[in-house]
Amino acid sequence: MVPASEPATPGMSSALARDDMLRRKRLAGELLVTPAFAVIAITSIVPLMLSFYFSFTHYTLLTAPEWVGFRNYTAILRDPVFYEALKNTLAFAVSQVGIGLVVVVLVAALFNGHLYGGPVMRTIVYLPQAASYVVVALVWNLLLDPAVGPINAMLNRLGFSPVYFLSDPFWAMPSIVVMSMWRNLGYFMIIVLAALKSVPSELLEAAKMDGANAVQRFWTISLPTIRGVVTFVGITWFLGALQMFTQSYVMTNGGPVNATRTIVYLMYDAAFTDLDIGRACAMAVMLFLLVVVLSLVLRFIFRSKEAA
Amino acid sequence: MIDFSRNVHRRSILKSGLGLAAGLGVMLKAPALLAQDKSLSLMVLGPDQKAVAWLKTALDEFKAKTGYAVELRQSDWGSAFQKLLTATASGTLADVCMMGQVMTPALASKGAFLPIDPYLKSWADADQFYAPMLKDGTFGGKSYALPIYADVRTSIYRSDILKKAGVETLPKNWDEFKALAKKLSTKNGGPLDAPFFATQDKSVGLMQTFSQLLVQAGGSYFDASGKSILSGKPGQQALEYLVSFFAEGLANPNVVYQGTGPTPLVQGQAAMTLNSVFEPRNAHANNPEVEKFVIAGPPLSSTAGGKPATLAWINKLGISANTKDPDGAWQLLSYLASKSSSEKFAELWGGLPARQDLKDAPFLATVDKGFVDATQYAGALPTTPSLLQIQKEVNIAMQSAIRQAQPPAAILAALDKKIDEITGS
Repeated sequence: MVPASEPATPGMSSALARDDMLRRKRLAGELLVTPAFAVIAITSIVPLMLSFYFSFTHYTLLTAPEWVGFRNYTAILRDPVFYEALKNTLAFAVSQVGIGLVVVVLVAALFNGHLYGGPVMRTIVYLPQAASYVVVALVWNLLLDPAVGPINAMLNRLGFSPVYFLSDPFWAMPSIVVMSMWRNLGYFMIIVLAALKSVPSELLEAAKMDGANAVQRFWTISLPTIRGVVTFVGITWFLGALQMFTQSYVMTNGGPVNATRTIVYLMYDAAFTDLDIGRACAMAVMLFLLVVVLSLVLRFIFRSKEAA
Repeated sequence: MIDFSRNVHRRSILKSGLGLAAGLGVMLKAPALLAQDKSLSLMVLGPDQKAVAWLKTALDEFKAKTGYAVELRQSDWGSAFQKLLTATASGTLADVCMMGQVMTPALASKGAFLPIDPYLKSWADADQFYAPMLKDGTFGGKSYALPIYADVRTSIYRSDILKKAGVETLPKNWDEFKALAKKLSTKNGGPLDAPFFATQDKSVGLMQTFSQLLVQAGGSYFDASGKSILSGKPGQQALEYLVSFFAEGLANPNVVYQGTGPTPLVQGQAAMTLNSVFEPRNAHANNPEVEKFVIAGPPLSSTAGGKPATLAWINKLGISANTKDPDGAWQLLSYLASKSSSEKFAELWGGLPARQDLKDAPFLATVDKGFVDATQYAGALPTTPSLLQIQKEVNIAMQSAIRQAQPPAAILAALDKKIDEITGS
C-alpha cells in the first residue's frame, strides 16, 4: 500500500525533490551569508541607525537617552566653532588633495620614466603608508619641533628665526597638510603609476615619431588616458580627508585657537569631553550627509566632463 | 566537495547553534568560575615602570592581609577620562579607580562612583587629610573619593640664569615677577627673548596658569548662584596681567611644550614659569645637569604685601558604583590611601602628599622646599560636573587672549556666556 503522503506520480515526485533541493540550497546560501551579514549589521548598520537615533536625543552614555527632537542640530548650527571646524575641514581636504594630486601625478610620471633607483625609490616613497598616522604624526612632531627639531635647526643655521610650525595658527594647518600628503603620497602614487603603465605604448611611440617631446606626450596622451584613475584618486582622497582627526589630535590637539579643529575632532570633543553623545551623533549625521552630497556632486561633475 | 543540499538540515543548524552558544557561555564564564572567591580590580592612571613595580608589591601585601587578589589595570592620563567613561557605561569600571581633578565631579554626578561617607565616618585616618583636598572629592554634599596626592602650583625659576642676571631674591608678588621678567629680557640687556613661559601645552596648561593668577587676584570661577564671574574685576586683572607678558614681548605665544622632551624652562629657553614638581622631574628625566637649578619660589600675591595664593590639582581614588563588593573595595581604597601607600603615590607619581601626617615624609627631602611650603596656600577649582568642558573652553579663550585677538574684557565676557550655557545657569 502506498502511504498517503507519498506522491502519486513519478513526475510530481521529482518536482518536489527539486523544490526540496532548491530550498536546502537556499538555506545553505543563507547560512553562508549570515556570518558576513551579521558582522556588517553589528559593525556598520546598527551603529549607523543608532547614531541617527541618538542624534535626536540628549545622551551622556551614563544616563538613558532623552528625546530632544532637532535641538542638537540647531545647537550645532548656532555654534560658531562648528563653522570654524567646517572651514578647517574643507581647507584641509581641498589643499591636501589639490596639491597632492599634482605631486602624485608628477612623482608617478617620474617613476614611469627612468628615475634612478626605481624600485628602491618606489619602496621609500610608499613606506610612510605602512606606518600608522599616530606614528607618522609623532615623527613629524619631532621634525617640526622649534627647539630640538632638525628643520628648525637647519633654518637656524641659515640665519632664520625659528618657525613655530605647530603652535602658530598661521603654520599649524599647512604643517598638517604637508605631513598628511607625505604619508599618503606613496599609496596614491602606486595607483596612478599602475594607470600610467597601462597607457598604450604605440600611442606614445607614434607621438614621439611625430616630434612630440616628453611633456607634450604626457600632457596630450598619458594624462587624458589616465583621467578616470586620477578622478578616482581625487574623490577617494578628498572624501577620506573630510574625516581628518588623528593628525590634529596628535600634533596640535585641535589648536592653537581652533586652527586645526575639524568636524571629526569636534565630534570627539562633544562625545568624550562634553559627554554629549547626542550632539556628537548629530555632527556625525551632518558629516555623513556632507560626504554623500559632495560624492554626488563630484560624480556628476566628472561624469559630465567625461561625456563631453 | 560538500553537498549542502544533502547535509544541511534545520535541526542540525539549530543543534550547532545551541552547541556554539553553550561553548561561548562556558568560555565567557570560565574565568569567573576559575577566579578566586575574593577578587577586586584597580585602575591607575599614568604610572611609570617604577610605580607599577611598587603597586604589584603593595597589592601582594594587600592580598596577604585580606585575601583579596587585585587585578591591576593601567591607562595614560591622556585617554583616562574616555576609558573611565566608557567603562562606566559598559559596567566594566574597576572596583577602585584613580581619577584626576576634573574627572571626579563629571563622573560622580552621573552616578559612576559610590558615596564613601559611611566608611569615612568610622575611619580614623580621615582626619589626616588636608581638609580642602578631602573636600575636593565631594559632590552634591557626598564624598566620592579620597585624595592621594596633589600637584601644587607655584612660581618656578632657573636659578643659574637668575644668578647670571644678578638676581638675588625671588619675587613675591605680581609686580616683582614682572620686573624680573623685564630684567631677564633681551630688550633690557637680559639673556632671554621670552623669559616667562606660561605653561602652554597641548592640554590645558594655559588655563591652569590663568586659574592660578585668578585666585591670586582673589577671584573664582562662579558666584554663589553658580553663575560664571570670570569677567569680574579679579578675572580681568588676572587676564590683563597674563596678556601683558605677551604684549610686552616677555613671553612668546607660540612657545608650547609638546608633551615630550625638556620643557622650555629646562631647555633654558625661559627662566620663570608657574608650574609644579613636574618641572624638576622633567629636568631630572631630560637634562639632569640643570635639575639643581630648577627652584621653587613662593606662590605669588597680586599686590605687594597681599596674601599669596595658588591652586592644587588633586588626584584621587574612588569606588565604582558597580562594584559587587563595596566593603572589599573600601578595604582596598583605605589601604591605598593609608599613610605608607599615600607616601609612595606622592613620591612615584611626582606630587605632594595629601595627608598632614606626611608633611615630613622622607622623600620630601629630595623635593624643593618651595613646593612643600606652597601646599598651605593651595585651594582647588570648584567641583562642577562640567569642569572638563569648561577648562577646555577657558584654555582656547586664553590662547586667543595671549595672541591679543580681542581685549581681555571681551574675551572674558564671551567666556562667561559660554560657561553659563554649559552649566545651564
